Amino acid sequence: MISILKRDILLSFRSGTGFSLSLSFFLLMIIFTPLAIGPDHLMLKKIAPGVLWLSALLSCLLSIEHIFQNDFEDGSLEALLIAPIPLESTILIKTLAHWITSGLIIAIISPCIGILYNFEFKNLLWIFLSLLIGTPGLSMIGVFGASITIGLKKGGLLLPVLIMPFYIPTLIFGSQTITNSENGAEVASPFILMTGITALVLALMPFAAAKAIKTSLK
Amino acid sequence: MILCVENLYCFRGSFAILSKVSFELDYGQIISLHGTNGSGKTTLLKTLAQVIPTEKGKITNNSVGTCFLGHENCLKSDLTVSENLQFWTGIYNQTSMDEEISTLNLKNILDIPTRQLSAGQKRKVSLARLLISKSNLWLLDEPETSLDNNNRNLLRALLMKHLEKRGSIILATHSPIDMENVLPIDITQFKLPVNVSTNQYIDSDNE
Repeated sequence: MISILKRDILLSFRSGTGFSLSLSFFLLMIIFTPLAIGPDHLMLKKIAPGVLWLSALLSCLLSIEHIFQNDFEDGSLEALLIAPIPLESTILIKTLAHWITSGLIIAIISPCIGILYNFEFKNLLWIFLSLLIGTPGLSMIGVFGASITIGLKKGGLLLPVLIMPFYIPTLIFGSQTITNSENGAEVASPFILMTGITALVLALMPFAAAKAIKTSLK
Repeated sequence: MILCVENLYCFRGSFAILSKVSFELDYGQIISLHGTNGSGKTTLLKTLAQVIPTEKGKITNNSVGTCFLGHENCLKSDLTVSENLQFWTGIYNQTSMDEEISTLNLKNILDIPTRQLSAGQKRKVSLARLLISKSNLWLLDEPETSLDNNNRNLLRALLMKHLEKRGSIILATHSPIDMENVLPIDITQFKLPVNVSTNQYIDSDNE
């Protein structure tokens, strides 16, 4: 299983559609939003949690389409289906690889973004933690969506429409965690709810995605 | 008996393609599937490999491992030959790929990205995956595609070596294979008329 992780991370760095695309899109969104809004510090501070989470979500979505498509086109997916590794484990590992090259990188640089948006130093940890725990859920939901759209010619257009509703709870509780920490309100509730959602999708969606892949390959 | 197929129906999408396919494959035996384009050779191989699930009929597979080599080569164009083979070595829980590399004379192209290889070279790398898998049942869909005469001879030598080691092969091909004891099966005898709905066959009783 380590070989899947190594290969997907390597491909993400080499192909130019994974790591670099996600990160540059995230940074562009974060940097361009203040330019569009204007130099209103209070306004920017108020919308910053939402902007951070929305940027993370969209950059995660950007690289998810290719997660199975290339394997499908070059025959690897069929070979992996009958390889001596359960398909559910393969899906989970591919999700991990996607998260490492998108969500994890975003979570690591997010405290720096927090400083740019004038967050208090003690709250930078909550920005980091909310993205660290929430983004694996985003990757898993995206992988599930990608498994449904394998082989569809217009799958790239259909994918965001399919999975956006699943993203809503994570988006709400993730940005709420940061907002509450900034306002001095209770952080634990939205954070625990978001953690629960991530745990739930990681536990259930590999099975759903495996079923979808098997159906797609029929 | 490594593989026993009884009254198998093969489906492609929402249509039934083949009906009542029955045959047995013994250890050290090779079957050559023949048929016109679109007759269902690939569909049958994918059904035997369990890429396409069995909806009706029975497949008893007693092999230690099954490896399917389809039309695609399962190679990533952004990775080198070595990186591609290392990936499959890990997937099949093997520790080394040195023997396969020397068998297929791949040493001089190991560090080249597969996007720069010719179609024949890619096919050879794909054959290396077959050897790395250490499976005793090979399901090969036109493996000779893009190979020149020398490499076709090499492929034939690989097949014969596999059979000597009591491995078994089912091969779909358009060109007659120059080997002894090949059991030919013409799959057009199992072909159904086109546009027959899958549900019609799944819902009906097993005969």
